Amino acid sequence: MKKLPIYLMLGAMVCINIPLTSQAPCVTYHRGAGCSQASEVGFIYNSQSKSGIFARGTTSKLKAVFYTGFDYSISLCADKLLGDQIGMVLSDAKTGEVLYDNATDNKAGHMEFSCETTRNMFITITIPGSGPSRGKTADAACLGILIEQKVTPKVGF
Amino acid sequence: MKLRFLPVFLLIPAFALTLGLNSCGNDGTVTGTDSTGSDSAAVTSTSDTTSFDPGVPSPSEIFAFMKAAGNTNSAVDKLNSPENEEKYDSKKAQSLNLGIYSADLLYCSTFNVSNKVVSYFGACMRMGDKLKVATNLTDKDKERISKNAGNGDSLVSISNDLYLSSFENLENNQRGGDLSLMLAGGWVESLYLMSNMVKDFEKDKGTVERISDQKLSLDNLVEFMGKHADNEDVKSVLAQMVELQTVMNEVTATANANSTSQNKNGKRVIGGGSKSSITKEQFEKIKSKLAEIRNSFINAQ
Repeated sequence: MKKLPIYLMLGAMVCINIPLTSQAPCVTYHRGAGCSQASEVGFIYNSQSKSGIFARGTTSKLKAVFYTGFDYSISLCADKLLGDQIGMVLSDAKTGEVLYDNATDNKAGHMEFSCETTRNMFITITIPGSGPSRGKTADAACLGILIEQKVTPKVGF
Repeated sequence: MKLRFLPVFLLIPAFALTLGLNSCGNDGTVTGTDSTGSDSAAVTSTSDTTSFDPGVPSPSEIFAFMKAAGNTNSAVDKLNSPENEEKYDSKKAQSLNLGIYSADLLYCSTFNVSNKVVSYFGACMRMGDKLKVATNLTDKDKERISKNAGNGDSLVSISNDLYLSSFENLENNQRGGDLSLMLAGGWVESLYLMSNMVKDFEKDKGTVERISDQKLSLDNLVEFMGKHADNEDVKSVLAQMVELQTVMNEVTATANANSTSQNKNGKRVIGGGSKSSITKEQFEKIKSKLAEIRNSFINAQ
C-alpha cells in the first residue's frame, strides 16, 4: 500500500504514453516496409522522396530533379483513409507541360520511367473528396512519395 | 523518512518530460501538408495547393552515375583533408563541412577508396556531434565501417544512411538554416570533385554534360536556401550560390528533337526537355567558380 502512489504514477505514465507514441510522425512514412512497388530489383532510395500529412480535397506539389541515364520508380503509399483514387501528375517544373497523368493509367499509385533529358519536374498529388471549409478542420492521414532509381542498364553491344 | 517519498518526486519531472517529448511536433492541428502530424491529426484548410521543399539530389546519386559511366577515383587528391576538421569552430563552418565530409565519404565509398573511408566516417560523426545532429546508424553499422569490414556496396549503403539520417534529423527538427548549409557543402563538393574528374574536355564530354545538368538541382538548392535566408550564414552562402547560378545559366540549351513520350521495351521514356550545349570555356568558368566557392567553404572557421 505504501507503494501505491508510485504504481499509480507509473500507470498514468504508461496510459498517457501509449497513445502519444503511437502517433508516429508522417515524415518517414515512405520509408515504411511495403511502400516500394518497384517492378525489379536494383532500385535504390532517392533522397528527394518525401512524406506529409494530407487531407481530402487537397493538392500538394513536390519538385524533384530526374537525370537522364537513370530509371526511376515512383510509388505512392497512403493511409486507407485517403482512399485509392489518389491523383498523381508529373509535369515540367519550368513549362508546366504534363508528362504523365495517372488519370489515364487507372489512377495507378506507381509508375516507372526514364528521361531523354535531365528534367526538373513537379509531382502533383491530389486527394479526391471535398476539403474542409476554410478554417474548419478535417481528418487527415499520412502519404509518402517514394522515389527510387537505378542506372539505366545498357542494352545491346 | 523523507527518502521514502523520493521516487514519487523523481517520477513527477520524468512524467512531465515524457509528456513534453511525446508532444513535440504533434500539436494535433497542422496546416496542409505540414510534415509533422499523425495518422489521425486534424488539418486546417488554408489554401488549394501546398508545396514540399524542393528536392536536391544527394551526392551519392551523382557519384553512382559517374561510376556507372566508367569514372574512377581520379579526384581522390582533391578531397578535403580530415585534418582540417579541428579548425571548424563556427556553426557555419561546421554545417558546410559536414556536407563536404559527407560527400567525401560517399566519394570514397563509391569509388572504393577504402583506406580513407574510416577517417571520413570519423570526421562526419564528430562534426555531427558538434552540431547535435543525430543519425540512425546502429552500433553494428559503426563497427562495420570502423573496421572497414563491409564490401563496397554495403559501405556505400552505410555512408548514404549517414548522410540521409543527418539530412532527415535537421529537416525534422526544423533546422532549415543548418540543413541549407549542409546541402550547399555537399552539393558544391560533389560538383567540385566531378569537375576534377574531367581530364580531357572532348573525351570526358559525358561528365561535362552531367555537370551542366546540375543547374537544375542548383535551382532547387537556391530556392530551398532562399526560404532560410533570414539566417545571416545562409544569406552569405546563398549569394555565392547565386553567383554560380549566373555562370551556369550562360550555358545554352537546345530543345530535344524528340518531344514525345513513348514506351520502349515496355518502359515509359519521357521525351522533350532540353539538352545543354556547353563549351570548353564555359566549363572552365564553372570549374573555376566551383573551386573558388569550395575553397571558401573549406577555409571557413
